[in-house]
Amino acid sequence: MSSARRYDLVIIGAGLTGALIAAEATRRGRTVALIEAGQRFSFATRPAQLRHHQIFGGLMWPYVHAERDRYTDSSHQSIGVAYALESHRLKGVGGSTMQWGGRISRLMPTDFRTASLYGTGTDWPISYDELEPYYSRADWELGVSGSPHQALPPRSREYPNPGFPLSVDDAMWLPLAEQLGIAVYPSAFAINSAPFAGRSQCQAFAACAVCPSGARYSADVHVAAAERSGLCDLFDNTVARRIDLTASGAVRAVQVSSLQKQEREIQGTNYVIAAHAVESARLLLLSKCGNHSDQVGRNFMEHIYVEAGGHIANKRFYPRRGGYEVLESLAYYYGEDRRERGGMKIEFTFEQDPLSDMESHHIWGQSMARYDRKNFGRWAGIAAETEHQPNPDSRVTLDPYVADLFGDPVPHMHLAFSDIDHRTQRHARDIMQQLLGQAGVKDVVQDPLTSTSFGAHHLGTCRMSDDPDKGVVDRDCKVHGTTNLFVAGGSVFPTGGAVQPSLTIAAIALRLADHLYAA
Amino acid sequence: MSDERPKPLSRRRLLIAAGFSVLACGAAGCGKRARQEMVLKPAGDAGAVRRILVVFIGALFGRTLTAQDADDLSARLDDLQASDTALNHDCTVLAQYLEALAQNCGADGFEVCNASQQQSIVDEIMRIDFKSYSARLLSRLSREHRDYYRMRWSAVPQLAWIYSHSPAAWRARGYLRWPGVKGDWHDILAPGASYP
Ligand SMILES: Cc1cc2nc3c(=O)[nH]c(=O)nc-3n(C[C@H](O)[C@H](O)[C@H](O)COP(=O)(O)OP(=O)(O)OC[C@H]3O[C@@H](n4cnc5c(N)ncnc54)[C@H](O)[C@@H]3O)c2cc1C
Ligand code: SF4
Repeated sequence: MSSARRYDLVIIGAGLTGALIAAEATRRGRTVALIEAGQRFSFATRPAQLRHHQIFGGLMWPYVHAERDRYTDSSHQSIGVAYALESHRLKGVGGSTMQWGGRISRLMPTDFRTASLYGTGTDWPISYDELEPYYSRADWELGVSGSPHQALPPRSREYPNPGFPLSVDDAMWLPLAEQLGIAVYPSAFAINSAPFAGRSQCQAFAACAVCPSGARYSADVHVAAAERSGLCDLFDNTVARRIDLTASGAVRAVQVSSLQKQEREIQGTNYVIAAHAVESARLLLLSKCGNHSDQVGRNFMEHIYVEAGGHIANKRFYPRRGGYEVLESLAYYYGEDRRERGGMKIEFTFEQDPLSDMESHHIWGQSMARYDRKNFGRWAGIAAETEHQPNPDSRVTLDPYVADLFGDPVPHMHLAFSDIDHRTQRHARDIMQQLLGQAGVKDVVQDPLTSTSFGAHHLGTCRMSDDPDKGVVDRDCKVHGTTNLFVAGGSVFPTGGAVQPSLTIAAIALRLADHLYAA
Repeated sequence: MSDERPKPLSRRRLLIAAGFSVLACGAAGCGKRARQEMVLKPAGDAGAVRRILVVFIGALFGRTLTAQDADDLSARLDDLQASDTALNHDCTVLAQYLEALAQNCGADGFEVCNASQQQSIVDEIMRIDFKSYSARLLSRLSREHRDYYRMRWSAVPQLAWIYSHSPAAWRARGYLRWPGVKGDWHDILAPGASYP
């Protein structure tokens, strides 16, 4: 079945990228088909959803469709741990921003030129300066609360909301930072510190993965704006399965299926794949598009968190009164040794619930009561968000042996680290030990040598490069060798830096919207 | 189906349970009866199961719960019973074992055991070795064993999760507000109450 309507723009994925582009295109009078594999979530059900989580645990958002979202993973063979894709993304209207932390960072200007500056990674075809105006616009679209700081990259416009100040807990680290001579600053958040854009200010529910007040931005906001224009048709619970590319390099249509396996095609003038790095690459591979140089799916990058922490006997914190911790530092982002290692950002944390140690420590009853009294509010933790270098062996491929709901090969994840990644992580561990030692944390119960996790930041797989042999899309996000097919999102990042990626993702989306429909 | 009356454990299942109860209640002076056959009482209706589990949660965390704590936990258990059949079953089995072990200690039920009896019953439940090879094998062989081990690895952690995400846990730490309850973010600028 073919959709009767032909749209100016067909977007695959109604997450952060797709939602922003849809809102921009409709603002400029263009018609949009927004195809989303997942469901819509009602804002009104968030309190019930939160309570459900508090009773049953598990994923905060009930979005996983076992057959639609199947994947395979062999990362443990290369990095020693599995990659849990299902907890690192969300399929639904609003995409992964429905459950994100909302912590906001810009890439550093140096991140765009790591090959030239340090001989590592690869340079972006665009510079920080080119992206800067879009960063500022993205701040205003998302409603970022932030405070300017000299450690942060230059900006052309003030933040839309005042930054969250340091909590009494954050302030504990200040004397130590001063003693070590490291600059710390309050992170920016896409959470309203004051009412903004029709959304409430933060109401301290301390449950940000399901923000009941809507103070934390989620991209369903921009989907709603696009729909309100009357120019956007949202196809939810609809999976894009193939891009139909003609010999001339023009996309003719997108083949989609509903979850009930009803098939149809949707046509437009331009097409944007905004399905997050894993599914964007998979769709190109399934469609045999853009892979003439065997680059699609390669250079998958994450942010690896090296974490450590312990209890401080003579300090008292008050965790979980707000939903987020604010203090961070870029002191180890740069350095003489950057040719040998990647960047890292340090975050300071206080949340660790002693009650969760019941099974691992075999304590219950009166012992547990004493343990909680002794340790609650005494946790001081540090996490280093570390850079993962682009690596062609770290990749998403199609698994020929496992099929999804529709019989299509599922994505196969295989993360890989290179020597420089190991050096970066080792360096982070040394810094953790040093900082915790200086902070007076004697019993480090979370060992930086063993504790590693991921940021849920999917980057690479459709890298941006002016050279069609080295990348999948050009500087304007157009797939090399095609005339009207674009990819946007973290997938086009040539390098990932060591900061949260979504403001850069938003900036790239706004830049693409400008490219398609110059104001 | 929160008001459905849970089925009592069969006598055979009870004997199996008693067989596992090698450490039962020794510390609380119940050792003599522990080696006798336990007579398993049905835990009662869903409301009775909830009451037993609330007392268990208190003992599991070494807490004397206030009436408000008990009400909050009970409301959450009610939701669990109403919407997850498998978990409800595991929790009901747990309640039945608690009643049986209480009887073994000479008490009328877990709720009326004294603190040290409750503690030794909790000890016994917590020491069930559900990870062993034999536990895994037996769980495959019979429903009785599966129930027995599931009550430990499914019901107990679930109840622990419920408690640690409930107002009861936070009140005990002197908090007046907890995750999920609206407040004012400016609170983070000042110290909070200390642990009582
Ligand atoms: C737990 C968590 C915490 C995070 N915290 C932060 C943070 O604090 N700061 C930060 O910067 N970033 C954070 N992130 C990352 C952030 O959410 C993502 O970078 C961002 O959402 C990516 O935007 P996107 O549009 O590329 O992808 P998404 O927002 O994931 O949207 C992609 C959409 O495409 C849809 N889709 C996929 N395949 C198809 C298909 N074949 N057909 C139709 N639709 C399809 C998906 O269903 C999904 O809705 C976090 C992520 C997670 C999971
Ligand atoms: S603290 Fe509460 S209101 Fe604020 S962003 Fe988090 S969940 Fe939303």
